[in-house]
Amino acid sequence: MVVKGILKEGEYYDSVTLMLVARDVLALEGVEDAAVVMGTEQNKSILETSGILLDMFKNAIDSDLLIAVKAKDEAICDAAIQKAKELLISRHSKMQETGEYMPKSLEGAVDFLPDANMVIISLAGKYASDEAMKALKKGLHVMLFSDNVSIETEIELKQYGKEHGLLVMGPDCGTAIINGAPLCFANVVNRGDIGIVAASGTGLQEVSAVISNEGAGVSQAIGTGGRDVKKDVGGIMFIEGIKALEEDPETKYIALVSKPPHPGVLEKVASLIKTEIKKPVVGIFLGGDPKIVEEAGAIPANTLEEAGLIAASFSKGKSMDEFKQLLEAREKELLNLAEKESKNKTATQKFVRGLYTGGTLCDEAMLISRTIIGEVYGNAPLNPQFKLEDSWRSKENTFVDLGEDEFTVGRPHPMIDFTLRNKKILEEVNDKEVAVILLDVVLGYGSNMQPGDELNPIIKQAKEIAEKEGRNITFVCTITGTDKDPQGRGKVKQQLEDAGALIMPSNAAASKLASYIVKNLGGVK
Amino acid sequence: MVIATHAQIVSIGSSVPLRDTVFTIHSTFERVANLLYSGGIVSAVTEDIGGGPNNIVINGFNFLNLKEAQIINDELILNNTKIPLLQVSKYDSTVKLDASKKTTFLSGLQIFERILVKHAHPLSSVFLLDDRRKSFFITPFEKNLRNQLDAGVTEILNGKLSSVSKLKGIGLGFTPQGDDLINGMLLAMYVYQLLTDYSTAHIREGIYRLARSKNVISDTFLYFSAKGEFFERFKNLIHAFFQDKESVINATMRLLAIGETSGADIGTGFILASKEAFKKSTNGGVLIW
Repeated sequence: MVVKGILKEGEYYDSVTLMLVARDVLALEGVEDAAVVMGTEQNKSILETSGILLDMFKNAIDSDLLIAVKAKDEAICDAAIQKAKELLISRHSKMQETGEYMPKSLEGAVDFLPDANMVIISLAGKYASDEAMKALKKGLHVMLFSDNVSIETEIELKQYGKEHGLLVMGPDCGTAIINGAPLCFANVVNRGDIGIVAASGTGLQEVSAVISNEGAGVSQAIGTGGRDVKKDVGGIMFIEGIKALEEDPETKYIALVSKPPHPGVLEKVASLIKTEIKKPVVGIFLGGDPKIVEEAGAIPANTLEEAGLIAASFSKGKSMDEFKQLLEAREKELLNLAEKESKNKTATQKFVRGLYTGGTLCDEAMLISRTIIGEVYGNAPLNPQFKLEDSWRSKENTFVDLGEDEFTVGRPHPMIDFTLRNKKILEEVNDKEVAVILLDVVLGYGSNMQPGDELNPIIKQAKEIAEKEGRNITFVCTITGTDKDPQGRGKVKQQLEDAGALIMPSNAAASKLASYIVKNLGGVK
Repeated sequence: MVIATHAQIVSIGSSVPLRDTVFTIHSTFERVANLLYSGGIVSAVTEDIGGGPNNIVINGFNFLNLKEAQIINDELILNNTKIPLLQVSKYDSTVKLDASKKTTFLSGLQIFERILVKHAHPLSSVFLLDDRRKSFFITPFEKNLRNQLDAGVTEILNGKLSSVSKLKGIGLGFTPQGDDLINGMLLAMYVYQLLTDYSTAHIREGIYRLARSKNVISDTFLYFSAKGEFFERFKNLIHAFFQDKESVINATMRLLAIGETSGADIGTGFILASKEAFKKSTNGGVLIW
């Protein structure tokens, strides 16, 4: 074990801010103990008792802030101290007195809002599960934003929820819309009669945004967390979510969104739809066999956009043929546009680089591209043989999910912080083989608030770099969101178009366009 | 120089110097600015924080932007904003209680304790009132901190006043939890004196001497508590004990809004010392510390 620390002079924080910072640090893998305290004699004596008093702390005074970490090795200590510093900056020093009482515990919050029936929990995983169980025992539905919750705990929470008629959305559930309220990363969409159950955050966002942009609306959107549809959890909440929508009087149509569920889970879902669900159901299980959905009596969709369009058709009383005609017409447009964009490329340019912030959107893009240009490389590819040796270095056709842990350690999620992707964009344009850069922009309350302001200059700069070398790079963008989102889809679209990007109405359309261009250029695997 | 049109002083504590003084900015928050001078510390606060013996309650000024503060010619000058000091109402930090209403006080204290235990932050000192809360302290450091607080308070309540020096300074933040607990105890001893006519002055003075530290903020609080001078939220709480349950609940919630745990810690110290004092004074009002 290694003990390291730092001393900061004259920094004032309230007790709990310091304790919570210490706990967040303690939640890091490999950290055994952590303390963030003012340097009083008594605190130093407690540090000593705990075996984490460093020599540098011995002469500290009351107004010095001491950060001490005990961890497996020096690197973990350094990372933990860095994390503590970042947390202290982000939390700001709270004032010693505040104006109004704010609940400081789940119990206090329940007393404060006795009519509340749901809680969102965002704590380090090891603490989150206890609070979630506590909430369930108080009769509250739970949205568990936290990750790092064990599979056993997830099952226990969901079983309890199921037995008591309560939803447990998550762990690692970042998106839901309940009674019209967009939660966490959700978009601001029209209210309507389409209910969604999704084991995919950005999948839910894409489908609900498409529905809303088509003029239909969402009654409820229940996120389950991605693990729910895997073998171990067995789709407990996915199934309970479908049942809840069946019982919900505001929901007339149901859309199911997920990456391929475990076959056993899919069977259970199919059986439920067959036997208990009377409302029309559309399902998109990305990469899964649409026949199973069809056999269950649901309408299968090939893309997230299609799922949204089918649901919107239900809701608006339109025939399915209408949206099929729309997609057929668009296909021609995409081919024409791809033809045009292929003509302004040099002989070396033939590959696409997809730089995604949304994991499900990246998966969908790879699935679509695979049918047009073959397998693509990535940090989380569909075919393991195409895994990049180094996730930071693209090759040939590459789609990178920048939301994966390897990119987010010590950084905010790329849907919030564009720094890393901006850097990647400027790296990719220097590769003479790159013809297309494919980007997703995910709007909503939880995402970056000025995506257009940030991406516009980067795209311009990237295009200029390429043009100086006689190359033209096509930027294809998809924007998941609505005009009601705080960023405003229309405004962002305009800003990206001003930078010279092509904005597609959906991720599916963007992926197709990018792939058609590559196909025309001979960049097929 | 700008003559303030929006910033105005609502009240001023009796210990705030009115002579010409140049302050050093110690720390600034959204609703509080702590100002150092040779005689100690003055806190400029917003109206929702309320009065105190060394508080200047000001409306219409953003303390986070405060760079300079001084008093010149009966005017408080914050940056370039001048605010007249004359004819400002004085905050009365004293508490007067009717000694015949001891039972009413104790009923109020019970309600206060119930609300405090129910609503205080899990990591506050309220575990001293409710053992079940001990489980909220998880890490080795947290457990050691909890044990030290527990030991210090227990020893003081058992008459070992020297343990005050063991308790002071324990805690993480700006005003350590140990200091807040001592604060609450000092206020309890003063209230006990008002209700029983048993003088606790010498004990309060002794505790203050033991509790003094280099933390000027904590030290100032302890100084006024030892003297029996109350800041507004605690004074309102004591008065609420003699009103109705609803008033106690509201006043408790206001107290709990002080810091994350400060209000709860002061309250815990107050309850523990009050209960101990009244328990030990059943034989004719003799306090046995």
